[in-house]
Amino acid sequence: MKRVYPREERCINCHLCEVACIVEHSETKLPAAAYHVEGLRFNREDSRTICDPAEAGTAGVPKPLNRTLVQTAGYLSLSTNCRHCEEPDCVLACKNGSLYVAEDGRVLVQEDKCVGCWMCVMACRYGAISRNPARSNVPAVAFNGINHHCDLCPEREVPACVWVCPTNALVFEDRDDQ
Amino acid sequence: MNHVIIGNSFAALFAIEAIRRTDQDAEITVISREPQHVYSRAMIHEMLAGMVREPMVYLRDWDFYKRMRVRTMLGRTVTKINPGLQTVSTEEDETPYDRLLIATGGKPFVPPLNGLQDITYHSFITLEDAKKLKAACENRRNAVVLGAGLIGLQCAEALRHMGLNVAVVEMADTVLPMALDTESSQTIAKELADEGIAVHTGDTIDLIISNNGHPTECKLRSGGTIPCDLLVIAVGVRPNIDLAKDAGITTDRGIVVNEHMETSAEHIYAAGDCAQGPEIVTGITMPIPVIPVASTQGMIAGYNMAGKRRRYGGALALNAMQFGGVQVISYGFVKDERDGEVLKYVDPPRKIYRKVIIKNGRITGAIFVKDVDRAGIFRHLMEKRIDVTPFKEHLLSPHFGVAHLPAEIRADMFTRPQ
Repeated sequence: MKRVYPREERCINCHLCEVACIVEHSETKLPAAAYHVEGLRFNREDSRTICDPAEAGTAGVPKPLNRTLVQTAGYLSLSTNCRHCEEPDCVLACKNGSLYVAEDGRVLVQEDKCVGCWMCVMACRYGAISRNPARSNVPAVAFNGINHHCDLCPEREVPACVWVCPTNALVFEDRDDQ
Repeated sequence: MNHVIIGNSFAALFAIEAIRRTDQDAEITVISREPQHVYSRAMIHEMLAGMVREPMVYLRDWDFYKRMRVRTMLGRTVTKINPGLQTVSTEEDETPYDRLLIATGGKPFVPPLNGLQDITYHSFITLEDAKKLKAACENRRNAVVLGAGLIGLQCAEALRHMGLNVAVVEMADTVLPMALDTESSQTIAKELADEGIAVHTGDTIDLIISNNGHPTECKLRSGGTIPCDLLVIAVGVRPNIDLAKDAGITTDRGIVVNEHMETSAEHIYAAGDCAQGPEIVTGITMPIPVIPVASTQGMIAGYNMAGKRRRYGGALALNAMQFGGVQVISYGFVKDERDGEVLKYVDPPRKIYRKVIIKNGRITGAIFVKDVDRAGIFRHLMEKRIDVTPFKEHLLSPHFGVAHLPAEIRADMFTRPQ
């Protein structure tokens, strides 16, 4: 299947992939409205997908909701997201069967079933799963949230992060036979 | 090929899916003592506390068995495995198999306690346990939970959420003595105290005082007495190996399996909490009763049963838990610091704690409290036995990520299908 692959030698650390991801998954699909009206943000300062859900609700701390994440070390940067593994460790770890492999091969979460136990965060060796504090199915649990990861933009032919990248540092390719 | 699976939890579930993916014509039969649709035992505390709707505890849709074309014998107890005849016996009949998977999970260990024989006490393993406990909670005020392991504490938290006074009694000096190190367990103990749960560590119940079969008080070894009208025993879970042992299959603490999940008996496999397979850090076999290991072992067993040879290099002990507002994720052996280099990052006001233990360049244990994002990268480093010496100064940085890994490891992770 087609997946998103980073090409770190081309990445210029501009974070437009994160912006495009947030906008694509917003209600309005308009950047200014997504940020200023819907309150969706990403944490540009240290480029961590998500801060502690405990802090996400407090004033002044943004709700970073990008599903792709630019990771940096010195001059190196690369945009990373869910690998949509064939035998996903997150699905094997999910404690109530919220995560599943769809028929088209995408790894998806049932957003109304996830209880935010973070077994998936523990299991994912790519560090590609974040905690979405904007939604909760178990409000009685402190700082609950739900699994948040790349869905390969189901409404687009090419995922938004790939489409927006100005240097082609992200590609959408089928490398299954390589 | 005729496959029979004893058990109906994570290992059984992923075995079914692997068999069906490999062989469209295989016959699959699931026999389980529990009558329910496949559900998660890791959800019963949230169920008890009424925090989740019942459908959220079931692991697959209602049409799962139909879709997978599985014959179910639920609510039926296997009494005997007959390896010579290749059959399993229930009280009513015999079922033949070509390949058998034992996925019988664990059973609660109940220690001898003075006065226990006179009362009704509760275990907290199955959905039925949770329902019985919920029914028993009516008009009860003072619950005592013996055992501060994961199950005991989750049960305690649920009972507290329901408004009961809850005391936890634990023989070890810390809560979660098997899963956590001292620092992290102190953080959790404080969360529990803040929730109003009384934790008595380094203590045990010497005598249960009862009246007409109902407990009224527990006398502690330390000399104190605590009120008790509801007692939950959550001292521990042992691999459920009786069927295998009686059939002459090699057992130790669990049912001994190799890296193909094969037991000592031909055509018989074991997976999940009942099994004792290879562990990756030590290389020796041990039971690792956690969901991802059970699921993966079940999947590997399923493929091998269906004729697709698959190897499981070894399991890593790993767990994720949350008490109060604190999440904890741990990998490997977090208490064993002997001959190891210990890296720590501590931020007490934010309750953040990270620790990594390195031996011979390889991580043998890692624990993350509160700040758990991207912890899974450590799983990769541990499972692949990657030498972390070249980048170890970055390991505990809050910005640590794949960009800090050597180029060939990054390429291996992010340039090919997984």
